[in-house]
Amino acid sequence: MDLRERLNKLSPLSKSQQDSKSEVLSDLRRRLDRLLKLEKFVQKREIYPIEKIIEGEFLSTPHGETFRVHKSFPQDFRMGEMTIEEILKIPTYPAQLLARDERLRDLDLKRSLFLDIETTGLSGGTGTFAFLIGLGYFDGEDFLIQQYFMRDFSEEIPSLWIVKEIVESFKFLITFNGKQYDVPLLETRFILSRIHSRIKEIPNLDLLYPSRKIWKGAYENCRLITLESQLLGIEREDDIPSEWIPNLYFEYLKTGDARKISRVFYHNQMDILTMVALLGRIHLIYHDPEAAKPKKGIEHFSLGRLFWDHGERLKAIPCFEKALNRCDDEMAWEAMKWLSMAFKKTGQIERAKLIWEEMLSWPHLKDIYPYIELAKYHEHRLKKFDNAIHYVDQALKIVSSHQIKDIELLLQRRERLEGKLKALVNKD
Amino acid sequence: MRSIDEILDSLKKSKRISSCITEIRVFQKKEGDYRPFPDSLHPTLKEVLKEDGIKNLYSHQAEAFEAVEGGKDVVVVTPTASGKTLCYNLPVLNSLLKNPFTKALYIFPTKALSQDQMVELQSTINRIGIPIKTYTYDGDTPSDERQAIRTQGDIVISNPDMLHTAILPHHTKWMPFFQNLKFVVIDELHSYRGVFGSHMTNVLRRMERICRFYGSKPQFICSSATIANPKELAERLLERKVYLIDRNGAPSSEKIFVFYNPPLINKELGIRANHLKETRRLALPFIEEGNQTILFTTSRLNVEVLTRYLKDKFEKNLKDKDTIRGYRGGYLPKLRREIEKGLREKKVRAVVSTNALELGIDIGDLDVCIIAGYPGTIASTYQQAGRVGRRSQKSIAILVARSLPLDQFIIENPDYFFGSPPEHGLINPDNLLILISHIQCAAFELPFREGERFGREDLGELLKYLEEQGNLHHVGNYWHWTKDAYPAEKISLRSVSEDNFVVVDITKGKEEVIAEVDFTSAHTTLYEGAIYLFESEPFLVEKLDYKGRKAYVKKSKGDYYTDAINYTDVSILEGFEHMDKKAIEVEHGEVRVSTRIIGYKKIKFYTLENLGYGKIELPDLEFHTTSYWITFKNDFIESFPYHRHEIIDGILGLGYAIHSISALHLMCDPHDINRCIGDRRSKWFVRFTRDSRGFYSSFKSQEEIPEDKIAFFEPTLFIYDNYPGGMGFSQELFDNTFILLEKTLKLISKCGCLNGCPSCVGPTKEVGERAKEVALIILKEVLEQGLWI
Repeated sequence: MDLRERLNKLSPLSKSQQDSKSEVLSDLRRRLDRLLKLEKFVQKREIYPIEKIIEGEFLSTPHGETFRVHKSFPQDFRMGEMTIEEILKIPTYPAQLLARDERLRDLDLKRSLFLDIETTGLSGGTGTFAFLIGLGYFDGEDFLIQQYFMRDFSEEIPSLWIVKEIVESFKFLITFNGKQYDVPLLETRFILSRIHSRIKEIPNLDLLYPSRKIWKGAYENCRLITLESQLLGIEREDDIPSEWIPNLYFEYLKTGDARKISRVFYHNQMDILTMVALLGRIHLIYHDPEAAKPKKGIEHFSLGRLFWDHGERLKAIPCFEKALNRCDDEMAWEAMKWLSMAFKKTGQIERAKLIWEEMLSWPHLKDIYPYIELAKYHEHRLKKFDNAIHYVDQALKIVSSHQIKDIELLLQRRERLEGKLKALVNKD
Repeated sequence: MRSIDEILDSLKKSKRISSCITEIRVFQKKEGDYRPFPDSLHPTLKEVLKEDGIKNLYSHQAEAFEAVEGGKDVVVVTPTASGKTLCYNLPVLNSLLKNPFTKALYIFPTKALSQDQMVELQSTINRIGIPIKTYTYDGDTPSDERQAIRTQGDIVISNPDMLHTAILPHHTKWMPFFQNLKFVVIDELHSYRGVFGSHMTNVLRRMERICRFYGSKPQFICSSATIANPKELAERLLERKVYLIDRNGAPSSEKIFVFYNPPLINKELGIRANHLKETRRLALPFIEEGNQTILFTTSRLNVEVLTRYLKDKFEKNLKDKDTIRGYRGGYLPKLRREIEKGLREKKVRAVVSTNALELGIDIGDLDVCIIAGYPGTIASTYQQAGRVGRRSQKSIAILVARSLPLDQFIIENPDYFFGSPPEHGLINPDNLLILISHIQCAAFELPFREGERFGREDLGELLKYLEEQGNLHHVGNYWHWTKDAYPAEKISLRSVSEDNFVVVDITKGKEEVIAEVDFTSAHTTLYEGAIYLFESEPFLVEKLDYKGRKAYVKKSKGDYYTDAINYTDVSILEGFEHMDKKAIEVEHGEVRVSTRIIGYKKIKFYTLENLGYGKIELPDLEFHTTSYWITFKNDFIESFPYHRHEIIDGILGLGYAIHSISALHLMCDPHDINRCIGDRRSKWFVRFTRDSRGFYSSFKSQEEIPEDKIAFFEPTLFIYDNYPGGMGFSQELFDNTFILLEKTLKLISKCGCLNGCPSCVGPTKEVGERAKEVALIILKEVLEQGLWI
């Protein structure tokens, strides 16, 4: 019995109890027929090869050929609300804060390469193949996108060689989720093709992380496509969902019909352009938080936190204020905490105190923060130790019995205050 | 304080106890065989060993070191507590000291064993004083630590599942590790047998491809428990020549081994006294006299029961708390360290554990080991018994049998146990289903190049087959993976096909996956109404989602178990080898198994009463596999003064017994094989239905064939591998036919029951009142006539 037959018969089959002998035989016959017809394998009929569907060129390299599509976007090209020219003009947000990478301090858009790839699988791993590599960069006043497409696995090596040269000629990379996905995947492809590349070492500004910080809670998720349509107001024409892409490519490999897979070029191009627009918007936020289009309280709050983490205390305060005005009861406590702390740390203690007092009468007390702060205020600012003790006592009433650490600290504070009170009384 | 000898003597004074002892064997004290430190051993290592009080090596440690230094691939076969860890740690650390770029991969079958190794290795490394980075890389490793381990680990400790799904498919992330991989250490090699071993060979084949890609060629250092064929198993697993080291140079103290069979309390049904209660009775005097005791049992439930029995006796006062500890798989490392410490410091007087042997290396030396229930293999029994024995003190190990056929055979045939190792570790890495799963994984890892070899089948054909299925694409000289999914994720190393069923426990209101059952077994164990035994605890299958491959179960309080009634037909497709004797014809080959499950019986525990029936609606099961079969010739059968149906009863009983003996020999679980009685031309088979006693019919017609008609058929007993594609068991059974029949005879003849029982030929309700009698006569005659043609 030949190998194929053995294989076909090995998978445990479950047949219904009605199966008759003749059905079994005809099934076998079908399989044998298929075996014999095997030689008439579907040959690639090149009726719809890629170059007939999309305008591009073949590049010849010592390692083989690769197909490249090349598009130029003039400076007045509009992506959402800004043009390319406008985006280039915005002074950059200190990128080293956005990505916590000192090497991005001198981020220069003119020396940055935008990178986005299309692959045969979303999980990574050595069996995932990047069949389209999209590269975008500013060239003079224009923005250029080059897309390298592999018609088959055999065209990977020539493409990678060209891509490597380009990537290594730039000082910075800009990606969306590239740290976790695109760059490690390309690195894997380089290793498997035995090409040495420095891609891992090039500073990478991954826009996913700052986006999450700024727009957390604003939309249903932080995917590029969500931000594109809801934040930037850009609509795609008839785009393909990214989940379809791997299978479209496999189909193309089998049939040679490039009509469906050609749509991936548009998809990839839009991804890159959106990254540019997103970057522009993030830079704008630094100068004008309203550019983030915050609608809900939580968005203002996220902005406030972002600025606060980046040391921009004065920028943070108006965000917290707006957050407090617009947020729901759930969020209000957090917003009050942060706003009061911001006031306190920027020397506006009286305004802070007003908030703490506001917090005391808040119906949904979440923790003992205002009590402690007021106790401190009365202790250090007003030297009114008895008032301070009063606040500590209030806190002790509220705190629950298993918050042992908090209780300990409160008792310590109380003891210290009593000591100070005694000293004061003794003095008199 | 009485000595162990004295306690044993006083136990023997009781007639009740001494009548249950089937064997007392004394292993004499043995001196160690020592060798000086090898010259090429790094001075730092010599210092560290001396600090530990080790002044020289055991012969096998020295031999292993020399062999590895000489570039050989090695398998060391020595008992527990013989210092086998040094056999691999010394060459690896030595190499690291000489060349800091050396990398090593240690593979242990379980996470717990890996973690224990870490502790031991780390303490040695700390004393060497050179930063050798050792890490465990398994499911518990936090994701933020993984990158550091990949890029900086010098010794990485992992397990086969992790290698299969996490390391190999992401090998580019491990580039520096694979480029410099010098050693692969495989511990507990004997556990890679059957389905698991067949998968493991393929995982190693994939790893070899990847090493070749990065230009490395690691050496293998393996350690195995004692089985009959360690060299053969190692060579089949690693697919290369292996140097065997099996002379143990470690000293051992005198050890007494006692075999104990609980008394029969019901001869009719073959029921014996509860083995846990007997275990307690035996353990009491030893623990009372202050001997630290370790007890092993076969399930978590039994651990709990036995622990409770002992705590009742020994932890009456608060000050005695925690002097008796139970130990089960899945305990966190912290708790395990605590129990081990308690043992070392003599605060814990007795510990009860499952077979899992996850108790770490360092538990000090105990005096008494009692094994409640045969662990399934001779190798594991010795491993458990090896937990006791101080260098100068005498120790004792007692094996207490349950009423299962395997236990009974072992306990009544001590020569089988103590003679030369009969257990063979068998694998079939070229089982087509297993092979093709791994070819997919390998293609994902590195595209296949034309002309490559993987496994013993025609790789080109298999690649073409996969291309047809849409998994691969052929271009240039390469075959590339073309699916967006990860092949390794769907492949379990412990089952043959991907189509596993998942057992979901809904007792507590939420869904918890507790087990996975392979497709074939699921039909006979997960039907609605079935009592599914998980770790010996009964669960009732409330709902079976066949399409979704899920069985929903709840803890059962019932006092019964269930047995599926199924019609199985075996059709011979091709015979491989054939043996023709006067009485019987023996063959093995490829068969098609068709199983229709029609219902189930509810059977009460212990009394084996039939409590009722249930219907089962499940699709038929059909698969191809390999089988072994014995045909009893008509002339031979006619020569006996029994009716044809009585003969068949005897063969049924014989089949029941030989099934257990085969599992024993093959070192597999009894569920890994299955049996069926019928006829070579597939015209009739024995069926069991509601009324327990068999009748005859064929699959297609289901009509009962009248007795007089069956006189024309020659009864054939099939024993087939219960996995599609076969596991290589039938060849082994064929080669050992007469040994199997001899042992089957011993099992049945030594059984103390009257007419048959579940410990030998099966319950008389199923096999009839004469099954034992007839089976014995048939076996005696076959063996006597045996060598004649």
